[in-house]
Amino acid sequence: MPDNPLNDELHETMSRFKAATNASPVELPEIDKPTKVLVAFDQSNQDEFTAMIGAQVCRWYGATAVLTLPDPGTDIDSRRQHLEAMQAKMEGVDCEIAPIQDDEDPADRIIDAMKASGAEFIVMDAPWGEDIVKLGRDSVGSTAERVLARATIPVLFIREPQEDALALFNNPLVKLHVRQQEAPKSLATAFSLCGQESSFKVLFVVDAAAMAEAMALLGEDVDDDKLTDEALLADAQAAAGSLVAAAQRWAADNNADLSVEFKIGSDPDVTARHANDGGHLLVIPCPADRNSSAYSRALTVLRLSSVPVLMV
Amino acid sequence: MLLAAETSNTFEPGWVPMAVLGAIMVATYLVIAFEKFHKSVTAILGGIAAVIAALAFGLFGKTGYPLIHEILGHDLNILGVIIGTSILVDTVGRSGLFHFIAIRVVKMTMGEPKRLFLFVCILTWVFVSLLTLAPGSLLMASLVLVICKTLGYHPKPYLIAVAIVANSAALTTFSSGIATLMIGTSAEIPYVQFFIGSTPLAITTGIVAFFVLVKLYGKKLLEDAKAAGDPAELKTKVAGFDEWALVKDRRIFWRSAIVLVLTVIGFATAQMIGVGLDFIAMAGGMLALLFCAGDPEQAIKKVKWSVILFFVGLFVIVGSVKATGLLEVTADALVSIGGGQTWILVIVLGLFVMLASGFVDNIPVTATMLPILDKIATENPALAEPLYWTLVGASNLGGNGTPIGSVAAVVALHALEADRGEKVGWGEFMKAGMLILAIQAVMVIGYVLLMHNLGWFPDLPKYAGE
Repeated sequence: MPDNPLNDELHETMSRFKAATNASPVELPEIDKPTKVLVAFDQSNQDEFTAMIGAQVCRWYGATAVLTLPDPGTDIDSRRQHLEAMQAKMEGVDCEIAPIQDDEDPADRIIDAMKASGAEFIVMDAPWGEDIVKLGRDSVGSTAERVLARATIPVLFIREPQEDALALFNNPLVKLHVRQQEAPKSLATAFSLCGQESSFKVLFVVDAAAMAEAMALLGEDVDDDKLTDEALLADAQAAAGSLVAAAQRWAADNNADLSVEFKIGSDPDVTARHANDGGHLLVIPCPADRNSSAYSRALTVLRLSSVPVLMV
Repeated sequence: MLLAAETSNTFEPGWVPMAVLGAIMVATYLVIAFEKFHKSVTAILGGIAAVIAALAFGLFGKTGYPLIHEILGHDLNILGVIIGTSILVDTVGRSGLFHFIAIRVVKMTMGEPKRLFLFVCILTWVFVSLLTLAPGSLLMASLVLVICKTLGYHPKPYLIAVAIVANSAALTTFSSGIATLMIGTSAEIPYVQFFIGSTPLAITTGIVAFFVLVKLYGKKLLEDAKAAGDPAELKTKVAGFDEWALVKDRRIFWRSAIVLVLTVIGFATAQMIGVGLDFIAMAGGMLALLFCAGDPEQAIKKVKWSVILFFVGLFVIVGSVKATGLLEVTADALVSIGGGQTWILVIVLGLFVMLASGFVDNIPVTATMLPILDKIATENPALAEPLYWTLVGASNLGGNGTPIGSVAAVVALHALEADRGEKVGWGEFMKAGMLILAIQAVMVIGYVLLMHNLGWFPDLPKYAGE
């Protein structure tokens, strides 16, 4: 292509049109509202906040809350008392307390409680700072991470108490990758949880390093010229057309506010910063392949986020 | 001579300053025409040379160099409109509004090639009228390339159509093209009056261009479509285009539409409310930044600063040449060629401007002709309407003759080369362009003479009272 200042503008405009012509209809899956939501506490100072969020989720879904406290260091009676105290905080919500066992692995017990109760949604503490202060940023050994590794249902992690927690749910940020299999389900789950009163933001983060890694894995030559910010952005915009159209159609049908944004940068950093600074509920797809680098990146986003994170 | 200029503000321009400044102007225009050097840099260098020569000959009189600021001050509104509309178009464009409309219209064609060709022409007309020549052409060239690639059609006929129809669209309103903006500003033509005078010409010349292009390329369009595959499959493909994929925020989308409509209304009523088009364009641009989630840095970067510099250089050259009296001499010569016959003047002016615009940029040609027409119209008010309307038609349509004659052709043909590696030669373009230009030349001259003789052109207020 001859060097001409017109080329950039031409590329940009063409990539936008490609989004429309490449769009293949994406059907957002119907999300059945969970009838039971497992709310897992850890006796930390943010349990009350978790109870409040769990209660709100149950109200939105019309679900029963199943409460559990898998803390092997505390005797069963104390745990029951704590759960009853939390139940009292969840006014107007049907609650049941999961059978309490004295065991050693909290993550196992949460998964057991999920299976035993038939819960289809988990709300749990994952205190902000735990990873960084206690375990270090690179740790993958926390209860939250082990639950996530085994859960097959959406998990809402409560990171730290927020001043106006419910406002976060009116302001969800759904972070997607353009060619991600789990993306439609994440969108649909966010729509189902937050509803049409919310103001949705859909964020596509274009990560050059991740793109190069993916290309290398596919055995493709990594051409640095093709990994410029402009080229990556143009490719992302063209490839995201189907998802954007599906999201906008849902928003139009439900008269909801929805905006789409593309950002260049390191995926975890950009996503977490955007969510923390903007005061959003962060919704991210959790890749099915728990050994993939995409899954590692999702975990890093979780570690860096101080706002609630829903992993679908 | 410099001393003389300092002591007296009146002087008799001689042939030497006329020849020197005239040579500087012609040399600058030739370098611009042959694209041997960056257009804006050439214009600024030409402006510097013109100022040096003018100061050396004492042409600026007692005022001296500050006269340049006065010259530029007269044309500040043109620069204001360019800056304001650039910001507006960039910000509103990011909402996906134009892309959305374009895809929705394309879906109505169901991929049928002749219908697609018609709708490409109509969309070009609409977008250029609203967004001005360069952004409108770029939008359409991008659309054509993407649609043709998706459907397996050859984009060349569609891009040539964009290049040619855009020039008709550019004369629709006062603000559709830079040449119309310059003429409207210089002759102080109200926006609505401009619309009434030029729109019939814009529509009819556009329709003629469409039919000639269909005659030339119709067969190829059908052959391409046949080779592209089963029409039913193409129809399904087009039906699958999703215009919602282009909308990032529906609130901003609707706000953008409102700001755009308000700006057009503002242009139409600017004179009534006592402001210039530059005020409306700037206000529209700022409204877009405020209410359409515009990124000020991004939008300001998108302003065509090279075009602004080009204009600054050009205005300085023309202002300096004007100070020699050369343009007045040219005006007198033009009137004497006419021999008192308006029709001769219209034909001579029309053909000269069309030819010159085809080979040089139409902007310098227009900038040079405006002081000439102003002198003629001031001395002969009856000639004001026919000559200015001739200039409107000829300066915009003259670019149809060659592949470098208009911004639209440069954009569309560059897009083809950039995306497909395919060049359109002068001969190939001129085969269609010159034929269309010849017909349009007759139409412009016929239209102007008919409207003038019937007294249907609204009087130009600037000259009506004189």
